[in-house]
Amino acid sequence: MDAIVKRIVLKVRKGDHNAFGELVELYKDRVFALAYRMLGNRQEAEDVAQEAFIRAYTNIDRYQIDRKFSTWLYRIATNLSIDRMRKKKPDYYLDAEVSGTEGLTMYSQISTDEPLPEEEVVSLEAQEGIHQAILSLPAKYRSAITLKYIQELSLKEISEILDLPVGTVKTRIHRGREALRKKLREQ
Amino acid sequence: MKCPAEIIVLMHEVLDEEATNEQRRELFDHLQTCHDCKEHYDELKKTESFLLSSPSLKAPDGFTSKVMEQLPQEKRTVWMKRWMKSHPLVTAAILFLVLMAGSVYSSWTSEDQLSALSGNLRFDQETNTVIVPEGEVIEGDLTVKNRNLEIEGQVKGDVLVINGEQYMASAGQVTGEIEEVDHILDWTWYQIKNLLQDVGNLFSSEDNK
Repeated sequence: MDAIVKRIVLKVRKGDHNAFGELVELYKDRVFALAYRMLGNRQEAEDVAQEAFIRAYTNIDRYQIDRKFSTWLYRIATNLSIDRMRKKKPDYYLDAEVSGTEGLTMYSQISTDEPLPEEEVVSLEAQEGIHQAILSLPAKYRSAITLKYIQELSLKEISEILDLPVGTVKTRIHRGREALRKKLREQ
Repeated sequence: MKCPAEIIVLMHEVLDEEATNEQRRELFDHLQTCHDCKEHYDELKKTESFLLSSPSLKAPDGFTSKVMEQLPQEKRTVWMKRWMKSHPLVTAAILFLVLMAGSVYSSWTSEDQLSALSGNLRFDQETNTVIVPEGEVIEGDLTVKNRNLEIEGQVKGDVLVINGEQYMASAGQVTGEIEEVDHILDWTWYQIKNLLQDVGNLFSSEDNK
């Protein structure tokens, strides 16, 4: 796999567009998933994922060929996602109280979807629950948790992607996990 | 009962698969005796399994082409290389034509030449003319290139004048055909004709065997 990716990267460096298309095909799902878990919105996730690939293309000469390509690519995608998160200050939080009411939150304003077969409801709820729980984490825990569980990367790779010592990554994952545990208990 | 914080740290070490066997044993021994910690650990395990079971997401349709559209223009040479790879026959044909044209052109402009199997010829430098003197008989074909040709004697064979003119004192002095080639197109045609003739000869000589 790594050898194949390296060969493709060398072709891209010579300016071959189609070779880059192969790289996009290989990594698009994972990069998109990463951005989606970080941002919680498909449209924004798609924007960020596309931009990550375009940056990778324009900066391909800076990629050190002896390193793992995915690490480098995830790093670009993670940084772009964090930038995007900082820029967008949400207009409202779902669990903020609606002004002029007492104890009523935005959750109650959202209409429920069509009823679905029971199984699906359970799995969708669980999925939605975990997705919301990840989104409620502060950025630094969110990125560590996402890389660890959604991308299933090793602590060492995460430390390279986030440019942090392994010890710090561990702490962030521990705290993130604790925070998620509490969230899920509340649900 | 309040358990020491290090038990929680231990839980995370185990979850990260960074714990030693000894640490694992220490944790699991503790969990056997402590209900609160057991619950805490189970919740963490559950959280982890939730995280790991979250569905794998697919990038939206048309993602790759959208990215490709936004890339800066690629270099021309790369485009040409790829085109050649995907059209090998056309590439071979073009290459063949180019080489053919090259060789025909170079044989057209190559040095002046004169070939005759036998006989004495005279050359007049001023008028750039090759002269077959009176009374002289050339046995075989005569080819003159980039020169004029004047025949006063006799040629027993074909006469070919390339990029030049030929004058004859009177008809009947040449027993074979007289051919004049003045343009590169004619020259190309002549070459191809010769080639076909050679190929034809090849086959007919094989037939003769």
